[in-house]
Amino acid sequence: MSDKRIPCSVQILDRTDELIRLRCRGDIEAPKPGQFYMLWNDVSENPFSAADFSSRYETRLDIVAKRVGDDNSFTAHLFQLKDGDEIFVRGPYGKGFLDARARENETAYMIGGGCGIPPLMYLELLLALTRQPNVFMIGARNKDELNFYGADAQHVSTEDGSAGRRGIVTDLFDDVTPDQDSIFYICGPEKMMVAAAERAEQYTDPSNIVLLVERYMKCAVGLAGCCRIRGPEQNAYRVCVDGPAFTYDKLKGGDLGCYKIEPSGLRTKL
Amino acid sequence: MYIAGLEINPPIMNASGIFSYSDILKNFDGVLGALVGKSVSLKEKHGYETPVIYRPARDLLMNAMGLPNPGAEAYATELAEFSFSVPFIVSLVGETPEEFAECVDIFERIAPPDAYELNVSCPHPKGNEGIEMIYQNKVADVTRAVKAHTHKPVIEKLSAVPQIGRIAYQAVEAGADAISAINTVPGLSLRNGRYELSNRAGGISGPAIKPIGLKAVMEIRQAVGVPVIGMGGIETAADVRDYMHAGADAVALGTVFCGMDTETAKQYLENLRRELYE
Ligand SMILES: Cc1cc2nc3c(=O)[nH]c(=O)nc-3n(C[C@H](O)[C@H](O)[C@H](O)COP(=O)(O)O)c2cc1C
Repeated sequence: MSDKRIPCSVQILDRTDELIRLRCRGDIEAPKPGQFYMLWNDVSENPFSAADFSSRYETRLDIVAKRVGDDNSFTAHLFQLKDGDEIFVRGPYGKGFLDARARENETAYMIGGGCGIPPLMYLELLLALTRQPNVFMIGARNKDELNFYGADAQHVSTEDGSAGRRGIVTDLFDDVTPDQDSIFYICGPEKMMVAAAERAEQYTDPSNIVLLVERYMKCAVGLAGCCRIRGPEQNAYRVCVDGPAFTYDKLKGGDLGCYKIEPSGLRTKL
Repeated sequence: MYIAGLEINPPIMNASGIFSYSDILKNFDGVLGALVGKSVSLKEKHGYETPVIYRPARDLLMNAMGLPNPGAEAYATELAEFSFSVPFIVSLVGETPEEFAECVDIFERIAPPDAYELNVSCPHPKGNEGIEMIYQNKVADVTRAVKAHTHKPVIEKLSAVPQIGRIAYQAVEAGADAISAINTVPGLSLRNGRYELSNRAGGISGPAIKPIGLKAVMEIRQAVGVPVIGMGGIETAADVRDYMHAGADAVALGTVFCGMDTETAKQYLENLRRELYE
């Protein structure tokens, strides 16, 4: 882990009105799937999961961002970037999917919704290298969104039925047959992750279900405290250092799906 | 170690602003000898835009958080859900003696802590607070205002200003039961024309400021007889001993936890305690 900000040259790989895929070329340290980086532009600094990484011919990190906020927001600025512009990256930070729980000899079920799909695609690459059997289940709003991610999954759902099964990603559980030794990796909007974890729990123990949690973050090194998330007991984890990948047993019955933290540190209902 | 009868054992606590909230601090109940809260103001503050933290070198952390906090009422309400086996110290920040006193009233009503720490030293405040209390000669007034509203021990948190011994003396004359020091050291992180924190100026912490902290603690020790809580760049048992040697009765740790997950931090504290006291 490096706290130094690495200057990177950006390339816009793809862009829709809502989503952007950025490549950052620079002397970046390799991430484990599920780890994240802090990206700094002229507006502010924000966390992004690694969507892809390679250091084969050149060192490059890909991230996928969704446009949020007004025209002066951090992500709006990302949409204004041109090829060759400079951006700063520090990281990688946090615990990845496999740090939370790895079971090399069991089938891995990867369940991704929307923006949660790219980090799982990066995990899938690694699982393929180690030849761990895996089943990829993804859900998006429509075919265009799926095409943007470029995901190639065995089980697909879209809300409008333009690709795969019409419905939401948890419906895809009807098409698969996990067993009690399966391991689940889940990434997507918080409500979707909770729903998927509840389905997965019908097959296996919560300690075999890994979620990639997203929280507002300021520092990424465990000092600010604003990414705290309570588990079932009173004590809280800090998502940036204790996560973002957590097994479900650590979070079930706590803040997940119920509470979030404001930039002031105020804990409020989701 | 005792502060006005309040036992702190081991004499090792977290520095204010690190771990910050009751639910994070709950992990360290009994591992630290006392738990210190984030500096809390009367009204909620969102703090500065990111970046609020940057670590340009291993021994040097820069931060300008902008004192984000949910406000005294919300912070106290959350604290009221918790009980701890070691003292919980509420840190307060404000612009006037009246504001400090009002915060004390709120805590005494909702979640009375074991002691208060008065942050009159944050070097990069948004408003007329933090180190402005020292610059504007309000330290004694603030201390008296707080003492008039609580019988709990009061700790004055100072930073490495010139003649810090004199400020400490004024605080103790006004009723402070202990002094803690130092807060972060003002600095500007600028590289190739880019300011690396949104507030531009920030506070330096970590091993780089240890000599500054040691000198401040020595000056305070020479000026007052109350307990002194030393901090600034402590990482090892040897650092703790150095602070004790300079006159500290207890120590607080902050930047050392940078990047540590909860289990690693607990393990680190267990090892530190073992090295110091076994
Ligand atoms: C991220 C961060 C936030 C801080 N917030 C506060 C605060 O709210 N109140 C305060 O009195 N000191 C605050 N401080 C200062 C620390 O309590 C401590 O005085 C300083 O960091 C020196 O100790 P260290 O080198 O061990 O970090 C903060 C320091 C850091 C690094």
